Amino acid sequence: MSESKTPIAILTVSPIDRALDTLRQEAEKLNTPAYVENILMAAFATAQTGKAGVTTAKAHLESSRDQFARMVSQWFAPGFAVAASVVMASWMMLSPLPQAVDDVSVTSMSTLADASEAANPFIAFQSLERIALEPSPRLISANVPRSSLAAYGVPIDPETAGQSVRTEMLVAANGQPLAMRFMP
Amino acid sequence: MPLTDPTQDLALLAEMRSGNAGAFEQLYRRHQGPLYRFAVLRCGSADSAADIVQEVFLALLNDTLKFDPSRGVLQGFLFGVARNLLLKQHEARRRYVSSSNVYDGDTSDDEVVDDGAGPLEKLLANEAAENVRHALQKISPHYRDVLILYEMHDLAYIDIAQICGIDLGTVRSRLSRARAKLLNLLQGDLAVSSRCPPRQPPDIDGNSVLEPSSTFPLEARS
Repeated sequence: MSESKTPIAILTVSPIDRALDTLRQEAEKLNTPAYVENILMAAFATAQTGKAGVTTAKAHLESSRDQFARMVSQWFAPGFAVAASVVMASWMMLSPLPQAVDDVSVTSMSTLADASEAANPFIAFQSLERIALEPSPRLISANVPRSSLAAYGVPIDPETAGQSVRTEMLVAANGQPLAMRFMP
Repeated sequence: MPLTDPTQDLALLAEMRSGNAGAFEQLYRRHQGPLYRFAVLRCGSADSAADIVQEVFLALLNDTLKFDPSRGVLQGFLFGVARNLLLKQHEARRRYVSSSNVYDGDTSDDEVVDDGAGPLEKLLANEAAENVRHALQKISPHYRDVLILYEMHDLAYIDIAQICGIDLGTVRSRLSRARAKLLNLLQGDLAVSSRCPPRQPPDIDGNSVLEPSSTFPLEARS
């Protein structure tokens, strides 16, 4: 309401409306201080980074799971196959020969000794080159539940399924498992 | 009547949730003004009002308060959040106001309050507008809410009812009482001011200076 209006014109408008109109016109000039927008935009950027971080972590976790499953399928099955082959070979070599017992030579005895060592062979998880190039591998002991071996085709006795098998693992400096062997 | 296009608000909200910073910025700029003005007129403090606006948008950003488009427009939702924050702030300041439910009774006589916010800040350049704002601060918060939303933001009764969580009849009665109370307060102030006119600093020649443009027209009527 302009000030140039006559008193009669002023009286025809409700005083309360005039008061509120004056307040409305002045209040229209008010806006939130600029710093609030800066704070909110920074919070938005942080929230987006946090969301991206969570997504990356989930992807990394899924990738690790996939990698582990791949490792199991690629390395454990052939590893057990190799171990089974070695055990079979050892058993064949240790078995008494039906003929020519006298032919058991020194060479055969040394082979027997080698075979006894080979009874606990390492099962490689990585390529031999990778293992050989590892600057500081560590050997750690770990107990593996027998029941978990069933997945790899190892026969499990129900009576001992709850027990653990003692193993030794060859681990790289960054924690990556390189090889494993079963201990008696 | 919503101040912003609800459809566009929803589109911007969807873009914001998909990580578009520009959409969030646009949403903020569309709504910050009305929210800030509501908060300033409601609580009488520029700093508190800025905090309220910030908290409202942080809640929107973090999605801590789930906005459901089927229950109303975004603008109403934001006003509702702001009002709730203001109520909490008010309750913290005035312990004897037990809860916002007190406001739902329309028969209470506490239409005029001393808001207890300390000395009122001067927020508006225009003296007359500032006088009206001071009078508004003396009205009980539940009447003030309705008056500000209707008179300053042109919201419909139905929108105000939704924001304040009251029915349409209550909106009408509160608005009517608030207007009457505000008029009473303004006339009372004017009666006092007419008995004790404020002293103006003399001009360079030592004469008293009157500034008719800075006085509210009601003064002339009283």
